[in-house]
Amino acid sequence: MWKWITKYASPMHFYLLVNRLTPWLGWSAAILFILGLYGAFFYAPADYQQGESFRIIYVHVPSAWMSMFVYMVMAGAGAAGLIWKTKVSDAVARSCAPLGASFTFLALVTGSLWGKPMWGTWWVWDARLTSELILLFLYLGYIALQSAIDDRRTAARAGAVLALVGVVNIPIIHYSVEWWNTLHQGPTVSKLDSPSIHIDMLIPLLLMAIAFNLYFSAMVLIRARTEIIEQEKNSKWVQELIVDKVSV
Amino acid sequence: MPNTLETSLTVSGLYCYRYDKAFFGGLDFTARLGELIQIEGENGSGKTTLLKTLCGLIEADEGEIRWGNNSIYSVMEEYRGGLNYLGHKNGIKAGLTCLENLKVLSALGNQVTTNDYSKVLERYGLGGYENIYAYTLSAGQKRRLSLARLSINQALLWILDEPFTSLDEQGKNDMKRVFQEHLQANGIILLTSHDNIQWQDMNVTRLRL
Amino acid sequence: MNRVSMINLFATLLFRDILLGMRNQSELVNPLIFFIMVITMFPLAIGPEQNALMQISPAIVWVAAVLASNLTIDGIFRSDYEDGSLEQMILSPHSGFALVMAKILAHWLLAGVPLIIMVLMAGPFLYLPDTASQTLFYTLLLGTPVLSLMGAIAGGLTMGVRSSGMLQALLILPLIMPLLIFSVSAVNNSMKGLPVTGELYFLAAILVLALTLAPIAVYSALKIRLSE
Repeated sequence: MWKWITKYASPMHFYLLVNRLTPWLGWSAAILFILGLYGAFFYAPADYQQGESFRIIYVHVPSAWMSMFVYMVMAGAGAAGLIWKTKVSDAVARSCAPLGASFTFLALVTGSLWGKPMWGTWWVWDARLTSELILLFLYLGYIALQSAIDDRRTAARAGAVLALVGVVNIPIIHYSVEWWNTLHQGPTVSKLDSPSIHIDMLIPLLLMAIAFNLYFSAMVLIRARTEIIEQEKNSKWVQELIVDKVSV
Repeated sequence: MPNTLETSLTVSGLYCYRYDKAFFGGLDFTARLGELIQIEGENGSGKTTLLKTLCGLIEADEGEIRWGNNSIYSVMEEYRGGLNYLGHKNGIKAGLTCLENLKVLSALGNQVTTNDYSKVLERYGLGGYENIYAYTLSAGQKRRLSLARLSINQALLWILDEPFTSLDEQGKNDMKRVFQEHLQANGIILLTSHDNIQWQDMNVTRLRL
Repeated sequence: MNRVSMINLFATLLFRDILLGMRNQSELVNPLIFFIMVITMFPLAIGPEQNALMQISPAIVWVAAVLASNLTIDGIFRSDYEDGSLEQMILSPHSGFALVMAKILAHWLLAGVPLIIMVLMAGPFLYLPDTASQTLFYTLLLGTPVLSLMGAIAGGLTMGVRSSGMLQALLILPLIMPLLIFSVSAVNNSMKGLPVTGELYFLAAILVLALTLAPIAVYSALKIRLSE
């Protein structure tokens, strides 16, 4: 098993693996998106309180989950790069950031859209939304740091340190914002905090969550693959690839 | 402490990747006691990168660097204790006097050979400059102050990046004398230099990157 | 490495930084002037009415303190990085921990302590009641070291980078949010006569966490950036 992992730490094998995996990941994501959205719009019953507008949770909640998950992956890949100095993990970490930031942004926008029919305002300082906003700043800081440093390896390592500092801080930030919110009795943009969620509402949510995950996996691998190719452009196997593609 | 007679700096198969480029391509050499190695190469060939890698500032991507029998990465503290490094930049504070600068340098180093800073300053052509702020010094004088660290901290291995920069003829000759004394005391020196240094009767090995 | 040389290194570097700071006092004063200007902007924007200002005075002074502190982050490592001193310090066989702690302590003494004094003086200008000033002092005492510790991480990661000031602010502000929340909450509570021990304990916990973990992050950042 260890050998299998170290094999794919090699840029060339990683490239080949990604080529094989992405069609599967991409198509499964597409199928699950269709199923999930069908369930979201037609299968799940309308909420007795909020009517149809609650359906935005089918995008909002998976986005929020993904934004947290992707940060963990980013920090984990960064840690792997620091410890084992693998180029692949550095590429994966760097690729996670724009995706994670996009999920965070999506969660914020959908949260804002949800807030308008509910509270009449375009923004509400709800605990989750505020946490997501701070998470967005963490992502943007990571992206800005990596783009400010020219050497790829140094940028990856510096980013990894920043991501690990962020990982330690995220629970603290999350708890602080929760506490701050209850202190000031803010409104909550959350359907899920109610006693129990009906199963018919839950299934599409889980489908969407898995779909988002598959989509992320496909995207991050594609981005990382591009990074690797760019980084290894002078190596033999990349040169051969270029020749193959050109001569076709 | 390794047996001093056995100690040498051995490099084998050294590779470094920077900015997506490979440097050194499997460098091999050994620096023994009493040897001075001048590292030569064009701009961009990686001389500074090599020196920094030998100090442990940059980690080698492939290959080994050994001090005595041990890889430097396993005895880093001890290795650095016996190392004097002079970088491109001087590593002295403009806002401190010469004396204060030397005091800081001795606190950073390991085996302080002398507390007589006045004597050291004199030796490096800065006699009487104890209480002069470093920002008032000329470029050559700043370089001399930076070089003074060689006489403050006792170290077997000297790694010097362009030590002769900004020095006048007198300064260069002074430094050559300092180097010669170090070699006679069984020290090792690795340096780079753009100037065409006439080493006269000193035993110098040249290493081309 | 022996203990004497580690303490010697710590003391020498601490003294060195303080000496350099005192010789360049204009750099120390700028953030404090910035702080005063930010404080001044609020009454101008809100109006001079006492009640309005008093209500939000804890928030104003703390936000202004954080913003002023951001200006000082760049100075922690920039000079040493640019003149090659940092390289020499990292190469020292003595403890890297001592090196990092000396720099951070020096920063706190030169930037944090004056800020504490300025904040306490600014409180009354915003009608902050004297009873709340004591709590404000405790939050500053616990909070400004955290600002220095986090600032050192941000400063270490961004050494020598173009327009590092903006980047440092972007890096540090998310990390500072909990500090802000609990500090202002504590002072607000003391204004209402409510207990503040909970918030202060949390601030102390953040400080202890930062003291233990931040130096590791700072040292890693320095090594990483110096290997460029």
